[in-house]
Amino acid sequence: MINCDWIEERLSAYIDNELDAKERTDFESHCDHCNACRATIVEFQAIGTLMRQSEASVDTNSLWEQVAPRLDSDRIVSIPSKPLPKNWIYAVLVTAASVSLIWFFARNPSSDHDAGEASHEHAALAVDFQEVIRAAKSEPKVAIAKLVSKYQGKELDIKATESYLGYEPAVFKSIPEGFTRVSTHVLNMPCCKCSASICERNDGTSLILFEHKDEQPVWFGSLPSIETQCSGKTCKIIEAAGQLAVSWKNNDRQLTMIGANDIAEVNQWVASTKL
Amino acid sequence: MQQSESSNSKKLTPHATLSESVSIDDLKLWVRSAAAGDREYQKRIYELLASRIYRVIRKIVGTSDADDVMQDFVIQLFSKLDQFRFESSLETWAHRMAVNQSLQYLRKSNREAQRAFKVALETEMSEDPNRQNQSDEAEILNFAMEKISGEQRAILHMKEVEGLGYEAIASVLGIPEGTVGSRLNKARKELRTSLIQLGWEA
Ligand SMILES: [Zn+2]
Repeated sequence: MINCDWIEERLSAYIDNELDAKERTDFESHCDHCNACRATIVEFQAIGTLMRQSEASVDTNSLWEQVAPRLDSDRIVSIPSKPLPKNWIYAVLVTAASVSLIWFFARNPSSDHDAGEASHEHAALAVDFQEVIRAAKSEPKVAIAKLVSKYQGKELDIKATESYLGYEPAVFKSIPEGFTRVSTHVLNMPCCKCSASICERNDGTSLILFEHKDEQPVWFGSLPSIETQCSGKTCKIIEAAGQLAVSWKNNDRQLTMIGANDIAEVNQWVASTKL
Repeated sequence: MQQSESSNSKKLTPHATLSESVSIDDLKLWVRSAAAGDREYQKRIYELLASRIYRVIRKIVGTSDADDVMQDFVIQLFSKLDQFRFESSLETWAHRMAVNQSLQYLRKSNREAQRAFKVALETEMSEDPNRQNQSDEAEILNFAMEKISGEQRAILHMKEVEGLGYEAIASVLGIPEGTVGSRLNKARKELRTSLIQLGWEA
């Protein structure tokens, strides 16, 4: 039975030409005799006309000029800087695992020229690394401990670290306000001797700063990275799990930070660790 | 960005789709290059999509926030472009991203956004030099639009301004096609009620 309720359910479909032929015929024969339903149709159609007539013009050219310069840097800074969960480091390391490994092992000169070999090596090591991460619980110290056991590392005090490395890590000289260096471990990576320092924010979350002597530019494998200027240094940045992994050359050192919240924090670190 | 003169209907024709203006092979090249960061191709893709996307964003979040949301959309578009698999049209894919982003924007800053929307409308109405060109009806429509939800503004815009069919609307909004008609019924009824309260007559 075609009544006004039946019509009401199909008003839009009728106006928008989405009814099948049979329903359309039924619809129209009801409306031939029903002023109320006809009036609603007229109103709905008038709304459409009004919307089309009122649509203001658009100038998207000037908007492109504004947004284009943001296209590179905003892949990084658009990450919401929400407080990090306690176990952030694992999330970062899991996704950054390949990154870190390429970084550490790209030191092999042949890997720069032999992508196949490099990725093979990287794949084999990445498995180990992920095992390390999976084994870890919810403390950055545990993540470091896994690296330590893999790379014959050990926690050293300032003096012993300096004599092990043969130089004073930049992270010992100064770190940004709002951070406390919790610990430093030395790692005997295949590429080099390297220090890894856990630095804690006031809110209890942490980041890890790696430092080693390096002549070669650091690269992040095939992961999309961005080069940008941070406090006067060229930083290579990748985004992983909502955090930033950043690497920059600092005099004769290469510093790499995993777990930065945002670009502002990167700037802070680059500035205060300058040699 | 905030001119209020009514544009002619030719400008609003929604049917000049990408597939008609760019061949699929060209589009694939454009997408690949833009996803890899090639600014020239990013600009081409922007130009294909911008006007239509901007309109739907503006309809959902309001004039005063449209530029900001559009900028965020553009950044998101190019950072996610490498995930586009040509399973739908680029327009539908981008459109969906823009609508979701706009609705999310409204939800996130609900109170502020609603207020800004209202303030912007009032400012526009009292200060816009082009306002004489805009009919009283258009002003009333802007106010009435504020009374319905962002989802309702989106679906009405897609139907009435873009002229999309129910299938296309469903795929942009990610809802069952069978629910498009009833959602439009509800949106039209609510908008009509607001319009009538503001003194509108069909
Ligand atoms: Zn009736």
